[in-house]
Amino acid sequence: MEILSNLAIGFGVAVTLKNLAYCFLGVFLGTLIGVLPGIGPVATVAMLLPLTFALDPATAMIMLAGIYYGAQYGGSTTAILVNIPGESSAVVTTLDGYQMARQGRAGPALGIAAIGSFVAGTIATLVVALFSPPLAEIALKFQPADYFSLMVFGLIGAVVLARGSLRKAIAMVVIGLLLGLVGTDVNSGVMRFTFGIPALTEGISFVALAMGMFGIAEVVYNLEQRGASRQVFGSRLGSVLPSRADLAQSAPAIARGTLLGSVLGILPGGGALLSSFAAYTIEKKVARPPRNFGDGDIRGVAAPESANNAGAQTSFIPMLTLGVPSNPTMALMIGALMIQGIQPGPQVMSQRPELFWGVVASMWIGNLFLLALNLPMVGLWVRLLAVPYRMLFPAILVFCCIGVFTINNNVFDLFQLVVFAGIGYVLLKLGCEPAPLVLGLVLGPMMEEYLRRALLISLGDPTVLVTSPISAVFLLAAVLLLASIAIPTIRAKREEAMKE
Amino acid sequence: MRIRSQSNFWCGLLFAALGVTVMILARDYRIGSAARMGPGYFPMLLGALLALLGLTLTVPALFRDGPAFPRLHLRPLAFVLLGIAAFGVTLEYLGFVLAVAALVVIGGLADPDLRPVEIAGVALFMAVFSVGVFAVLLGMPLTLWPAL
Repeated sequence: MEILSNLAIGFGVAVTLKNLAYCFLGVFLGTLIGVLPGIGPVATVAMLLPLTFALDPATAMIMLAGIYYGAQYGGSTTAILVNIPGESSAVVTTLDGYQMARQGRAGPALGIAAIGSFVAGTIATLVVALFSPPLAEIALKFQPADYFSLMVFGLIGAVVLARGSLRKAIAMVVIGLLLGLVGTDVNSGVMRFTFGIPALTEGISFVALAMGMFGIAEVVYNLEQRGASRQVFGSRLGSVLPSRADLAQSAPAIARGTLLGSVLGILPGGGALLSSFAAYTIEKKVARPPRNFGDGDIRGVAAPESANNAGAQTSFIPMLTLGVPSNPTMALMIGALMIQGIQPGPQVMSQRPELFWGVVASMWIGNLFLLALNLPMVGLWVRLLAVPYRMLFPAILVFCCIGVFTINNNVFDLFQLVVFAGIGYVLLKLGCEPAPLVLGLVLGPMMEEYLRRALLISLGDPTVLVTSPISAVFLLAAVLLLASIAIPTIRAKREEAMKE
Repeated sequence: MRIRSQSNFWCGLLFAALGVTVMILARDYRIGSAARMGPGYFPMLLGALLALLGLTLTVPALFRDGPAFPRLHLRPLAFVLLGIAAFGVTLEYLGFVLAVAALVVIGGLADPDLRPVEIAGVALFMAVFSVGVFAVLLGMPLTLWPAL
């Protein structure tokens, strides 16, 4: 059993006092920031990224993974208690979770979310451990053309599975790819699109862009929604431990959510968001007896919460094995690896097994901390959420600014933050989702480089993209995905699933 | 001619303009050939793609109904952005503590329900808290006060 020895390496790395401490710190800080209304995992990871710079790569990744799960769970807490989803993957949790809170059952709702997340996290960790090695093995055989097509497939997948207009989403990807090209071209040394600004020669600050579009733009958006009823239901928290009947009812929902999330998380554009939406929709269809959904049904919390955690976990698979991010958070992780001097890709597993398996093992430990931390600390989060938004948002702004500044200790990054927050707000208003743009930003330079190499090898013949079998399969899959959207029934389904 | 979807029309036009601008700028970089891509090759390709995508939004917006132009609320946006810019400038010249205060006060104006006492309280709390966490606990090299 190779997987056992691999996991043994992993736990050997993860279970050191130092790594356990950073894992715990990550989960704690992630939850703390993630609980703030309107702050999702992307903004949280971006904000806390500088804290990991001084750490060695394995510890940094372990801490970042902890921050990610923490933020995810923090978002659910906010969704249940104040009906504000910290990010889109918690939207469905508000449907039944907030109703439960109104009925005085906030405790069991938070409890089942934590328990479901833990079960899902445990199983998804195993999925990561099982499926990553064979995938990395295959990926090692990829040629430049194959990589290029894989990225096309990944981006198309992200677009098709995203919400809103397809054309706008593709345009977002292209703008992201273009923004990724800003800076010094590695091959020719030519400065591209820098407009004579020296600070831009290193490229656009990834964190400033992500923070502007996901953090600041969201704060502005929330300020507009003022007057919308926002009441914290925590005074009657009750016991956070769900009753026996709650558990019995939730168990199948957790199982279904976990399964669905584990599968969907691997897909490009998948991860937490798609998983939670799909899990809720399916749960509503298959759960017996099918009463109460939307009216405080505990299964309506258990299923999407399990699914989003499983999806969050398995979305590490393409990031760790292929170096291709499937969602904006994974794009940040890739950024973090590069800052650590590690080029993400299939070679990471063979060259840095301690890093790879350490992260996998710490995923499970992180989920354990999440459970141990959140059940007793819910009261603290409730008190934090009772602070009015008009006093919370200036604090959020301060954290965002400090986070962006400390990446490079450079004031110019703050001006980038201003620009991207403004752009992000306008795009949000025009119905353009920022997620595809962020993926494009990370993949831009890589795609250009792979295309360049592919065409160099083929002496300029673009058919290399379809004559290589692996590349052809990816492109075909991308075309099929696009075509599937054109089919009216699937299109209607997609819109229905995203509406909830 | 009546524009049926203001939002899609202008959004598409914006993308198209952006794409064309990129193509014009990319002419300054060597394009090269497919086998030897110059620094201008990929941007040119993407710029053209973006311009085309813009048109696929703009043209149908003339014939098919779609979302209207959204309402922009300028007050929250303006003060939040101004606050961040002020944080940057103040940080450069007057140090971290005053920068945090400037951000909280100016950014706080984004909410019309602003109560001066509360904002002053938040500013003070955040200044003390962030100095404690970032400068003392994490030991980040921040200039706290203006150099006299």
